[in-house]
Amino acid sequence: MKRFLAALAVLIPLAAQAQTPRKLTVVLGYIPNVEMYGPEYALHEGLFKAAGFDVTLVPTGQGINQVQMVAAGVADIGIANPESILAAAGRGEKFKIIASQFQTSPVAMTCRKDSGVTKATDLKGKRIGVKVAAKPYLDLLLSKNGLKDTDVTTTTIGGTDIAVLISGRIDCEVTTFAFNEPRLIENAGVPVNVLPLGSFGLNAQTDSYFVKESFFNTPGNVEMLAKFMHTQGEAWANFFKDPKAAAAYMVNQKFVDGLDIDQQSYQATQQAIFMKSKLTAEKGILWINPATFKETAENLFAAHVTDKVVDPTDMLTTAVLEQSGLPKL
Amino acid sequence: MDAAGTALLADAALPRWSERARPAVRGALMASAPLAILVVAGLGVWEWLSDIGVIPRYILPAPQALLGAMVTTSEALTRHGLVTIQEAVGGFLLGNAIAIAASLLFAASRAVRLCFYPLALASRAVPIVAITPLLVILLGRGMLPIIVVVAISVYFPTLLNMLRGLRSADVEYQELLYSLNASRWQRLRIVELPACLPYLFAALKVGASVAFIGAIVGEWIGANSGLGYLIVISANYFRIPAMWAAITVAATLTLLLVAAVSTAEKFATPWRHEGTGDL
Amino acid sequence: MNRTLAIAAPTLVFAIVIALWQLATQSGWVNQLVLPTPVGTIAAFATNGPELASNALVTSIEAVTGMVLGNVIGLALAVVFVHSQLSRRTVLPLAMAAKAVPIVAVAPALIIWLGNGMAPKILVTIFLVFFPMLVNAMRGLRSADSDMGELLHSLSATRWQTLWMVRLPAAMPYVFSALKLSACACFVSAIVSEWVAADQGLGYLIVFAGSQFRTEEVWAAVLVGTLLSMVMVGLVVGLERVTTPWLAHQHQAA
Repeated sequence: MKRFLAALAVLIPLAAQAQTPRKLTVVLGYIPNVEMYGPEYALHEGLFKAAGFDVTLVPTGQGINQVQMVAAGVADIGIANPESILAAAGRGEKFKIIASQFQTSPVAMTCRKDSGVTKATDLKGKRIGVKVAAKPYLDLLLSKNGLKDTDVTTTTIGGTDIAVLISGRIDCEVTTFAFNEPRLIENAGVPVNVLPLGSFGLNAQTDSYFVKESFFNTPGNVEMLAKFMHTQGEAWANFFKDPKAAAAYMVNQKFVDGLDIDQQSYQATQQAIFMKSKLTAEKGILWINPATFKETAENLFAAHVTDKVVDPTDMLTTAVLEQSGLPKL
Repeated sequence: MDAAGTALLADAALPRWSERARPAVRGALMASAPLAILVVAGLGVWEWLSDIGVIPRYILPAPQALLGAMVTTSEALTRHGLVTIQEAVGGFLLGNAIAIAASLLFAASRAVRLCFYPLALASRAVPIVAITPLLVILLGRGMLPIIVVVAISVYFPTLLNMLRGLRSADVEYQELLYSLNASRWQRLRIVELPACLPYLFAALKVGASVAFIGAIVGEWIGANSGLGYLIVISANYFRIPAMWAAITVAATLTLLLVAAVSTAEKFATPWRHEGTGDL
Repeated sequence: MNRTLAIAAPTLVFAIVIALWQLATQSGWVNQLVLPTPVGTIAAFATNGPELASNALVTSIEAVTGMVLGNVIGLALAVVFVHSQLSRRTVLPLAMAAKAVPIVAVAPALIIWLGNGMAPKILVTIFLVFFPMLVNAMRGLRSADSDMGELLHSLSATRWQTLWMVRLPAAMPYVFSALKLSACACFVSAIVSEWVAADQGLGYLIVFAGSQFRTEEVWAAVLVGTLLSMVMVGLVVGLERVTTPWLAHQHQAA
């Protein structure tokens, strides 16, 4: 009898699982543009449903942070910059990073071509527009290239502000997304040079998928997350088949207002490059690179964002990736 | 906190009730002529300054481009505008309802007022940019947290003015009713509430002028729909005419809400408008 | 006795609020990456005192300058509008339209025009402050018209004398009601505009410390901003008592 009950206890949740889809809330790394093709495509083309998920996607806003939402339990899975995840880990929160979209950081400094800046050492004497949260990283970039913060003039700019650069009040702007702002600035008639921060010792696996450690440790959740990531593999494989078509899909579906097809196509082709590496060809897309995380963690400490070097080793796990059967591209 | 607070905004450009006779129509037209001339001239100068490049287009589009953007983005403007209207009006109603209820409580009990008035003041003084993310996390995304943000930005003037209005009720008249054995409720209904109305409407006008701004700041920080969101996303993709189109719609909605409050005041307190020429 | 109660009662309420806050955060109901404990927040005052003070000073300069200028402009416009029907029909609707513009959305453009310093923040504060003063003062200046105004008219008083001796004194309660509203709003306005883009001030601190999840510092800055607003309201109430003692009976609520 006891054994029968125990078997029942195991079977009932399994049966329930098969019938009612598993509810998941995912907070995106950005608004639903081509950068978020994976989750949006999986949702709208029924990949989540077929895998037994009932997924709610939450686009991120200006002042709402994905890390806070996951920490507060408002979202189950977050897609966020590793800088944020590690900074929060430095404050004592426990997370598990289960996958990473970008192999090379798409975060860049954008400079007017007429400023003559093509490498970090050219920044001496230049006027740089800095977003508030980016100041520590600029200081770090300068010090890594033998410059002091007094060697440049900085101006604080708003989160969406490229007009300052277009107006010529500044020579360079940090941070920008390598495929977004530069394109918009050039469309406004100002040629630019793009300096990806990853090329200056500031690489990071932008848009990493993460969950709370307690969520990860809940029995059955690794398998569940693997099923979830499998849908992401399918969706992103579709993206890589034809990035421009993927961009057109995102624009035409109108998940969000104001997307520009020219910019989105350009972003898609560039993004395809930044999402691939030797590692993804060997192991699979969305793979985690511990060396990159180590670099990010050391930079965070050097930039005084964290009080100590946050060791990412325990946060990183390929357990989900191993079971997800991701395409090797 | 005296009240009479805010003036009848729309009145300045509208004919008075006492002037409603037919000759007044021509009078009203004459009265609004200087404004019309000023507005047309202003638009002309703006267009000209844009053309010669004094006003850079990447900061402020020319009037024609702005108008064009309002036409081409009209579908998105309508969709997001409806969200913002619901949030701003919902928050406006919620905030003022709470303020009116609180003022009645405060007026009824000195102890309650002593305990909670400073807290009411403090809650208005908390920086909105800090509490919006907290509200979004606690209440979930969507309209609810934004409605609360708007309610917080509008309730305070109403609370202050209602308190003053309730005290302004004629003391002698109150005593008369008291001697006539009128109940507390009757005194409230017959004397105190009517005395409050001018004060209340003055505060409602101040609240109406900030409700949409509160909604837009809230959406900017923590939402994915509404005009505030449209403003941010347009700026993100450097669609400056679309951004200003959303700003223009928001400003127009504010003026409409203020005008609606003014109209409501005329119906609720007709005695204040007959021939007084009160602004 | 009464005075003791007036202090003790709200103190008790605040103590209860803080206790609830401690309970909600310590129990994990509200994650501490979102809202720190009050104890942690107060500890941030000790560890980040100078940083908080210097940024609070910047915000105070912006808020107070914006408040003074905004109210002076609002009062001056009210005087002009009361005296000139033409201006009332032309400039007043424009002032109303200006107030209706969501100025925060325009803040990035203001930064391009006015640079990175305090000027755009002060301008935003002026914008959000002048309007309540304008409408209140207009109502106040006209409140004396009917009785005293006619008397002075019959005494052949000049417009200037009427303004100075009748209208302005009559407008004082209205002026102070506007001042109280803006005392509360000026810090919130300055902080919102710093939030858009700044490298100093409490709004900057909220964004910057927030981006690094130093929530104790964020909420310490929030508390400082709240307290400064309340001090400002207190100053206005004090000023009202000194300058218009005849209104003393109206002071009890506000």
